[in-house]
Amino acid sequence: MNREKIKISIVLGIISIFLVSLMGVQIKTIKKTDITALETMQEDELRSEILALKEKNDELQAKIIDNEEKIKEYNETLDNSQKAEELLNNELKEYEEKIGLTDVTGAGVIITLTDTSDQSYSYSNLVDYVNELRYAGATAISINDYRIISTTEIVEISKKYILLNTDQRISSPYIIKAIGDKDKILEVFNLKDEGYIDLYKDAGYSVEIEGSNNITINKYNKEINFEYIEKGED
Amino acid sequence: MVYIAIILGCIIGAFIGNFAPMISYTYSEYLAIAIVAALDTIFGGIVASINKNFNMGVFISGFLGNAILSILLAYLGSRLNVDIYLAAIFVFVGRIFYNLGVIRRYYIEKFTSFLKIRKEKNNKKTQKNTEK
Repeated sequence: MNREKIKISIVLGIISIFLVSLMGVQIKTIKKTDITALETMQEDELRSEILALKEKNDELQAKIIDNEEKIKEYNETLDNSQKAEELLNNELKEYEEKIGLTDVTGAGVIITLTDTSDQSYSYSNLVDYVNELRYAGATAISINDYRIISTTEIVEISKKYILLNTDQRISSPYIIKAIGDKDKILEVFNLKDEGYIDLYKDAGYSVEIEGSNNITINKYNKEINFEYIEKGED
Repeated sequence: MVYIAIILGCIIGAFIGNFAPMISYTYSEYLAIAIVAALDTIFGGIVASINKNFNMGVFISGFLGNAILSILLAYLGSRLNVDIYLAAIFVFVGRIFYNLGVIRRYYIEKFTSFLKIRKEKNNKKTQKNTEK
């Protein structure tokens, strides 16, 4: 057993420690890395798979962007249609108010016409009152809480009864409510000697007029029928 | 003596390797080729010690140099997209088999010569007995 051999043994021992520990690391790495699926594939197979996945990814990304844009567009149109709906609703309401399909309140006058033993009111007197009120700028009129609209007729059916709106009978006292410029209406009716109040009072009728800041006029509660009218052009 | 040292080294190394940290899978390729290079050097060393021309400097430089060079070559190959590590493994494993062959032949010769000597001894013994 010479010294040379001992030296060799020590060196070989150290080197085998080093080598085997490296092998252990390597074996552990291979074991722990989940490469069963990857290992069975060839490199170019993997490459083509990666490329295909990349392409798919790009496509999906593009689709996502596309869809997002579409959603944005839809939202915009939704907003727009909501606005349009609101606008149309407002317009509808406005028209309904104008033609008398809604209850309305406001300042105006109340005229009370009562038959007396001397004089009784006829349908033509009511028509005159309604005309005069319209002339004075009244925007909504009712007689005995029946709304007067553009198609309302005021006709006589007997000495005692007047017919409104096809089948609504009224009789004295006639309470005419009108919403409009209160001061102007009062001025028109109270005109000295020429106004309706003076004229009718002079003729022996009973008539009273008073202004009010809070008058409610009910809506026209029937169907408005425009028969025989063909659709016209704007 | 040499073999006892190697076996002891293997056991200690296995113990250390069991507790060593893992490395990234990407680098395991380079580590593998370094291991093969080192194995080649070790078998070369054993053959040299058998032939009685073992040189410590050559052995250690071979061990480290071959490992590092093979790693560098494998890295270069991956850069150039040429599988140089295959050539390195071819050379190393070829040399390992050659060295293993040398070792095997040496021990077979040793064994047969041992058998021959024993047989001659036995023959001599029987001759002596018959002479008596």
